[in-house]
Amino acid sequence: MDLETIATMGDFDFTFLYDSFDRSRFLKGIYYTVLISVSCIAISVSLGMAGAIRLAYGTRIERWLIGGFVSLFRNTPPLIQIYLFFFGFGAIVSNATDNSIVIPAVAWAVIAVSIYITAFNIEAFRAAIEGIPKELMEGAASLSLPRTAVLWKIVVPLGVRGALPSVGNNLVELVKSTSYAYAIAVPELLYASSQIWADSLNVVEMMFAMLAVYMVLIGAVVLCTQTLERRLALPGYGG
Amino acid sequence: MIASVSPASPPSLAQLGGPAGVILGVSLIIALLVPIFGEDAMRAEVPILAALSNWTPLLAKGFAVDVALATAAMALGTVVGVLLGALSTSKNRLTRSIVWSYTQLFRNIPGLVLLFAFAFALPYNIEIGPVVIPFPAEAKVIVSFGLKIAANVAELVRGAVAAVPSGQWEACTALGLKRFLTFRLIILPQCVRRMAPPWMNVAAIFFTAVPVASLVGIYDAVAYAGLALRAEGNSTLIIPIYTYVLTWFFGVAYALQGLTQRLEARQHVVSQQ
Repeated sequence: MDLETIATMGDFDFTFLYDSFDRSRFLKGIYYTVLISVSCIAISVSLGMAGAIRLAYGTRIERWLIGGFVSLFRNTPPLIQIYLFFFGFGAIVSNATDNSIVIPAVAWAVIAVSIYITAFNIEAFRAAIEGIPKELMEGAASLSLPRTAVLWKIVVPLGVRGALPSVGNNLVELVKSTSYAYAIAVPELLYASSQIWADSLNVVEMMFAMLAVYMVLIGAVVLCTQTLERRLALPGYGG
Repeated sequence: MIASVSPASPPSLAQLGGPAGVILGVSLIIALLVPIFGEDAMRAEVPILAALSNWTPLLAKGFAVDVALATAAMALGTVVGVLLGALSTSKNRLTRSIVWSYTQLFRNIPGLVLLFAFAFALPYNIEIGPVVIPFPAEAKVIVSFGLKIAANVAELVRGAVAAVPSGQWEACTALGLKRFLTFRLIILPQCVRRMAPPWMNVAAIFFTAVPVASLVGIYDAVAYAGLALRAEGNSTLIIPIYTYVLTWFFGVAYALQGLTQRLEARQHVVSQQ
């Protein structure tokens, strides 16, 4: 049996398994979804940590701004956020002479999703930093440890460990949020699938295929954070 | 219960984000309109504020659709979620694993993908024999969101039930109460209070997700904002109109968040007694 026979068994028609055009669209969709996910994870985790540190130790203005940033992006629809970035700010930075796009849609998707999840990550790291035992800080003060040492030897290591479970949840949310890029026509998984089913009328098949890909991606993220949690676990803390 | 005592907790984000959030929300329109677009706005034929007020009735109509869809989905999701949560405490292993699979599946599937599955893979009329049940786009949004909310609520119920001392189950068994009655009369009432804050968190998150309904042809606030922009044909209005709609969502979600934090703080005090 060749691939096409298997792919069209029953009433199903998994075109992307045998049709090279559909396959390349589908693979490109997976590539974009992974690309957006990975870039957003890197950006939102580092910005989240930095934001939480400034929220805990920054000046009053910094705390005020970061608090406002978190409230704003947590409490507004991500769809409008991505529209604002792409259509609104994208128009501002577009080439004035011929209105051509300077920053591509996929970059705006990365920016929008990163900022949305950063708001949640700041909150996760903040809770973890607040949960650091006071005794450690007092001990550091009594040893007159310099501020940078306190930061890198106490706050960051313990903050990262404490925040990992909720950051893991946020990263699952992140992978799911990449589908918002569909709204600005980034050819990620959902957009690619919708184009395939528009041509081949195999909506159900594409839904199952998408579900499978998202489950694998989310499973990978969960596996990574859980492994990291186990590797970083401190004896005497947690379960 | 002492409701009026304010808790002595470390400064929370509510206190930090509170002023910033409110002022940001209120001043967003002004802040974004004047400095960035002052010059363009003067060149524009229709001043921005006039355009906003012209489109306000239509946008408000769309916003009401968003609120209605979110409320209906939340109601459906809560009822189904509480039932699933009750089943997840069942002694039957098969029941538990079915509920577990349901929650894992529906919590992890992107909302947009589930909505598309309902919108494009399911018919708009379901025929059962001679009976034809209409399944319009609005119902599809409500059901697809409701199923996701149910998965989240089921997890909340499971967690809240696990936090009730198991001695209570045993005491009820000793009194001859059946498992379901124990759950309904003894366990669930205690869980309601504990679940209120995270439940409102779920409400806020799904409320901000509802505008994706505009992608499957529902005329909500975001869809009308797009129509308004096309009708005006003035690119300087893009940021003002979307920001305008954004602040409405912010107002509702932020109020929910504030209420959640207040409830949490109150329970914090009560549990310390």
